[in-house]
Amino acid sequence: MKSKWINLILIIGLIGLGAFAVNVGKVNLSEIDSEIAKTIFYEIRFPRVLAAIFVGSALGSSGVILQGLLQNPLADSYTLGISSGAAFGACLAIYVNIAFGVALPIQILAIVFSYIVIAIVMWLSRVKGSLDSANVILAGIIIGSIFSAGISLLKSLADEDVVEMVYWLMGNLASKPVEKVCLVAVVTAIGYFIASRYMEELNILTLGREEAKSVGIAYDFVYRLLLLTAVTLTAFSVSLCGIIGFVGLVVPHLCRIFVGADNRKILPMSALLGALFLLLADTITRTVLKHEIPVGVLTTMVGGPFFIYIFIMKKR
Amino acid sequence: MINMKNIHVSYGKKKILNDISIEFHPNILYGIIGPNGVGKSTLLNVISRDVPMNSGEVLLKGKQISDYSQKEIAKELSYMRQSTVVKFPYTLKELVSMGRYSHDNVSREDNEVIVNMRIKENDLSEYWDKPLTQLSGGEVQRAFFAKVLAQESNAILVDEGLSNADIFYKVRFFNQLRAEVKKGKLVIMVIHDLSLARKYCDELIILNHDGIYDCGKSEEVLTSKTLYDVFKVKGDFFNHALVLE
Repeated sequence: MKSKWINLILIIGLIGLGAFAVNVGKVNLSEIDSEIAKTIFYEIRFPRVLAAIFVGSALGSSGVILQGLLQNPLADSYTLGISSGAAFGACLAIYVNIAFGVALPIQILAIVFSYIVIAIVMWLSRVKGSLDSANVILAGIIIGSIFSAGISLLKSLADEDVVEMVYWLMGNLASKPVEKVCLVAVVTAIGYFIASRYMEELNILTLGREEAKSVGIAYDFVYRLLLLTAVTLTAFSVSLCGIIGFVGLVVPHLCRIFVGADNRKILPMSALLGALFLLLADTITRTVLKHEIPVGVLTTMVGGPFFIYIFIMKKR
Repeated sequence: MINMKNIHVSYGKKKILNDISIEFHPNILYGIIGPNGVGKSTLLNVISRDVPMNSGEVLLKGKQISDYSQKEIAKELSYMRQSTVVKFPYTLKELVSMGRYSHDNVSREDNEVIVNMRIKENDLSEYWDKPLTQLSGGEVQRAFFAKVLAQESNAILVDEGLSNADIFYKVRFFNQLRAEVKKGKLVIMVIHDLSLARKYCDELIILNHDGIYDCGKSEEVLTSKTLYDVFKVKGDFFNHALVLE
């Protein structure tokens, strides 16, 4: 009951903020030529607001799945190396493009490398034994570190052209083409739908492999399916917007504080709260602040202290 | 109901189970006893498919356990483990409800009734909406037992049972298991407390490092000779109480 009310408030907040966000910006649309205003509205602000909403909910949802699968309330896409993989793919594309004067698609390489990372992680944890959280985390951290080192290598090779990589890595929602935003929206919707069918199973998976199997869960199937869903949600978002930290980590955690551990309640709330949080952060960075800072930086800088506040309040 | 034939299990070079063959029948509470490291828990884990066998076969109702789907086998077997760590603050009722997962043909209301009944049966009603992370070790174990009972499988595997509960609940635990056995279920339990084993188990399977030392009616097989041969202690049982020399 409580969770329904919270979700309702979040939906109202999201619609309100969305309506507000498309109408504010550096330029006041009512004061300029209506054709240009239309272009700004439909090709700049609208895709940007949509991107914030869908990327926020994708990160919020994938955080819920990953924390459950890894049996760790503090896990996120970094723990598994997915984000590092995506970032490596993007940096590799940027580097090759500059060094050889070609035009590799950054977005596609980011997605491909996310899947490469997760394929290696799954393979490694199988070799090590079974697909349980300890093995997956261990494999994820190892692979993630290797790809992080790879990013550093590319940065050092890129020399003066490193700026583009750094900017990509910081994560931002500015000037995304509407087709790419729509692709991420569709992928997010499908990923969310699949995830929402398996939240009862995810609850049980958090008790560990043996326990889950003994109440009747087809463990390996559900684990792989949910893992792929989480990777897909993360990979498409990161490929569009770069690294946006903290949403996938904090948002599910906050939801858990309000409604308990049941993932059937947490998933929708986390998707909504993630969307609201990212939209809020992005709207602040492009309207309130004088110099637009990358939203990935803002989410972490605002999310971190807020998380500490909640953490302390809850302790009492 | 469960028929184990020539089971061999080894971890690396270390042989854990060596040519074990046993049959388990419904209506009986079996106790598995033996010194540390003879493979008592492994025996249960082979039945539950958590540990792969090197050779041998396990038949459940005449069918290979490997032929069951996970949901099918969950209706036949439930497993009360020594301890399970709960990482997320699920409420007690959410945990017990997880035991109903395999019964997807049962209505929500009926599942709810069964869950509530098992919570009540384990004296946990006042905690139903408390997060497990706020309960004591003994209470969490009882919650897991309620979950196992809610699963309503035909056989219940128990590894040690309520090690953290006080004596009142330990005794109640055995009485609950006896009640399940009376309803026609099979219970197989790894147990360390020999006095409780002798008092509450119908039959005992005594393992030592060579395999099965003996099995049969509890009072007949757990004697001072067994104590000396298997556990290397001198003593005897008087009214099921173990008295050491």
